[in-house]
Amino acid sequence: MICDHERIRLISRNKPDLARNLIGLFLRELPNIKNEIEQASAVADAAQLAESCHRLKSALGNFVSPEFYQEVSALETSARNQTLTEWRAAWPQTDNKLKQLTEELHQMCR
Amino acid sequence: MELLIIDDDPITRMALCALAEEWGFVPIEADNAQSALKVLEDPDPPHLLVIDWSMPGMSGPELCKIIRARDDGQFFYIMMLTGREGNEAIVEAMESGADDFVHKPFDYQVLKVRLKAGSRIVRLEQTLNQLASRDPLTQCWNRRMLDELRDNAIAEAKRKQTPLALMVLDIDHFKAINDNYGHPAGDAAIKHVVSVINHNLREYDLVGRFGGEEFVVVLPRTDTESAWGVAERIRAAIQFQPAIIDADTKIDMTISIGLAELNQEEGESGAELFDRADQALLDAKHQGRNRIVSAP
Repeated sequence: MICDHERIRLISRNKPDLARNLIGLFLRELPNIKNEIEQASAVADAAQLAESCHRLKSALGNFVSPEFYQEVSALETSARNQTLTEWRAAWPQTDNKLKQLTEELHQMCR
Repeated sequence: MELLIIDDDPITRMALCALAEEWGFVPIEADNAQSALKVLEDPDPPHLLVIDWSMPGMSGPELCKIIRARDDGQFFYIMMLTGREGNEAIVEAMESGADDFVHKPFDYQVLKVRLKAGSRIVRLEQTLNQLASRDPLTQCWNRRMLDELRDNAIAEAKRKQTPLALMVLDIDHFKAINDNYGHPAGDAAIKHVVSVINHNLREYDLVGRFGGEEFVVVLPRTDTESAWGVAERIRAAIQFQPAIIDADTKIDMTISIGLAELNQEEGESGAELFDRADQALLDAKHQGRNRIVSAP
């Protein structure tokens, strides 16, 4: 489970409409953030990559387990340190988890 | 209390706004530092701020430094919110001017109690500011504050090339009121005079108590002729509306007024303008009181 249901419940104060709005906003933002990340990676723009990973981390902080948050935080650090080979090796796993998270969030909203 | 939330992440902003509303704050959103600075230009801006560290353009610490460099005496309680870890981030945030620091992802209970603590400090600061700037008897500005506000109004008048007039008012024979009716009645008479003055002014005019029975009024966007009209209304109202102390006691009073219009051509200062109006007040006293004299 990537999604932290307890955190979503706390942050939305148990209000389903607010939770749905927060999740909806995240799901709309996520493709843009991922697109930013993949473009920055493609042109090896480490600074932009770090900024985009930071944006992803900020948004995820409202929904995910501490472990996954730390994983994305490590990606941001890796981009800041310009260790792009390491970054590219780690990204597919994170990307898969983002897909899993998206599915979990969709299920929550159903 | 208004809470300004500055964060580029719309999801965090939405979550923070919802929480802030539930905790009794009135949230105001800004998605970057420049938008926040615009909000803070308001004459009555929010004084409790939550600032995200990493934002495109200007960062949270840079925004903090700009806010702390303001010289208008306004107090802002700033809480920095960041995903950065370690003591170095705390030190950097506090050194840039933040009052408190909360890690992202934030714990909502921790955020709640810290915002409540921040709002207590803002209220305390506002109370202290009120005590330091107002005359306790009449609640009009005290001398220190009026000097500052007068100089600000003069700077604006010079910038916009608009006239500005200043009046010095003094209750005639006030010592006799205290001697005949007692100090509590004297205090009531002073409050009555301030009430009459306020009743005859516009919202943006300024009134201050300068001494026991002496008051200063700053009239922005007002030339000598218009100021004379205002002064005459106040003088007549004081003369014909006695201070009612109780069912059996009414105190008749008169006031003398000296007025002067800012001499912009000679770059007159606030202190010089006051001196001319004060001299005109002395002339009014020497000429028999209960009158207005305009400075040449």
